[in-house]
Order: sequence, then structure tokens, then C-alpha cells
Amino acid sequence: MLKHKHQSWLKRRRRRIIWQLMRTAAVPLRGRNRINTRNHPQTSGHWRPLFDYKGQKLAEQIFQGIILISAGIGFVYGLIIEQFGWTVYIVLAGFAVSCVLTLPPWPIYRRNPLSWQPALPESTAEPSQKPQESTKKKKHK
Amino acid sequence: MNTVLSRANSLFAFSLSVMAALTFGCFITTAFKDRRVPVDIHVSKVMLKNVDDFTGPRERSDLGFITFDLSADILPPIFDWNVKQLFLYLSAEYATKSNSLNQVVLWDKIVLRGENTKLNLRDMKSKYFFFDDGNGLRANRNVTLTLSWNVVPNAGILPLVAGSGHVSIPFPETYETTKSY
Repeated sequence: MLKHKHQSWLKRRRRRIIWQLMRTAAVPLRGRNRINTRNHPQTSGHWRPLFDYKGQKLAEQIFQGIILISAGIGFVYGLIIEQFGWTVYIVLAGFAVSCVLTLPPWPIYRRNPLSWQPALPESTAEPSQKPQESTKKKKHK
Repeated sequence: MNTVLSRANSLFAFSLSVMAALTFGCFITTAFKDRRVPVDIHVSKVMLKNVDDFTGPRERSDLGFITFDLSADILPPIFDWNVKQLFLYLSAEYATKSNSLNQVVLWDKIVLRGENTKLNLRDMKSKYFFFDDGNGLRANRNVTLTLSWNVVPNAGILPLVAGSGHVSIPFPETYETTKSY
């Protein structure tokens, strides 16, 4: 049941991505120019590293903010009740919260992936002899 | 920052730096406190013997026996969030013909944070032998007993504080001899 829900969610996501890419593509993408979303960063391979600098900057700001806030609260609380142990506990709690918020690859950190140049072919065969080439290569011709 | 491990590394290092800064803050808030407390010492009995001393260069040395009372209320100015425990010790200080300054620790105690801090000890015997380096305790006019303590902090320096009460006692002129029947 859950797997079915996940598959249909993936399908909707793929359709949305295809629609977005079609709107912003330089050449019309129809037929053989259809877009392959199997390796698109937002629909698969979540644990593979994705080079998204804006997302990583957001992650860094989030964990730095959380740890600094918990350090401030912990310091004041420990000073008031005269026990340094509580300061350490509060900072550790902030550490745990920011672990959960920034370590797993949440989708908000994958919104702006870098668009890489297409890989150059290793052989020198002509493009017309290879009708199964990907759409990206055709875009840059 | 693009892999989980790289983010974990960055997060952990930042947490440790923040923790170090907080520890320094804890030290700074208590570094300049005055940690002296008035202490009341009273000596009830003094006895002197001349015994075989196998640790020194001569055959017989003076051995003193002191029974004392101690009372102090050490809670308010000393214990704060940067104190882990206190090491109290009672030392005797005097001068003899052969040495101008002698200091002997007679008794010590560790007081942890959270324990009862009102010290009210009666008729305590010394923990350690009060041996003199020679025979200088007999008829010594002025042996001063002082309670001092070492503050063991959570972060920072370990201050050594002398208590503000001390008592001077004279030692007897004669040795105690065991009665023979």
C-alpha cells in the first residue's frame, strides 16, 4: 500500500519535472527528445551527493543557527540554576535537533542542482549513426 | 557539504567549538571571586612523644598528637556552577632551631558539590603523623594551625585559598611517657 503510494507520488513528481523542463528547454522536446527522469536528482538517488550550493548553504545556516541558539539558552539557564551540566545537555539537544534537520538529504536542499555540461563521447562516430543519443547532446549541437 | 559525512563533520566541529566557548564563558564568570570564608578552629588536647623515627637521619624525633574542633560554613561564596569539589586540609606551621619554617599537613577532607557544606567537626584526631624533623616540638611556643582549601573547578584555574581562621598553640615542655606498672 505504501509502496504503491510512493510510486504514484514518484510518477506525479516526474510529470511535474518533465513539465518544468519542457517549459524551459531551448529546443522543443518531443518524441525522441523526451526527457529521462530516471537519473534526475529530485526523483532518485537521494543519498548520492548532489551539488547544490544554495541548498548546502541553507543547511549550514540552519545548523549554525540552531546550535548557537541552544548554546545561548543553555548558558543562561546554567547560569541561573548554577549547574554547568544543564548547559551541556541543552547544547547536546540542539546538536541532535540540527542532526535530524540537516544530515539526511531533505528535498529542500536539492532544489537548485547545478546543470552540468553533457559528457563528451569517447568515440569519434557521427551523431547520425547513433539515433539513441540523449536529448542533451542534441540540445547543444 | 555535499555528502552526509561532510555535513556531519562540519556540524560536529562547530558544536565542539561552541562548547569550548561556553566552557570559557563558565570560567570567566567565576574567575575573580573571593573564595575566603571565616573558619573556627579550636584545639582541645595536645600531647607530645619522642619516638623512634625510621624515616629521618636521627634515631628519635618528636611526634605530636593534636585533637581539634573545626567549624565553618563554606557554602555561600565558594560553591557555584564552576566548582566540582573542595580539597580542605589542616596544616601546622612552626619554626624550630634547625629549620626556620616547617609546615605539616595534619588532616584533609574532600567536600563534593552537593554534599553538606556546614562543617561542624568535634574531637577530630589528625589523619597523618605529626613528626618533626628533629626534636623541635618540645616547648615550642607557637604552632599555628590553619585550614586551607583547594578549589577544584569544572573549567579553569585551581585557586589555593587560605582560610581566615587560625589558632596558635604552645606545645608541652615534657614528653609523655608510657606508664609502667
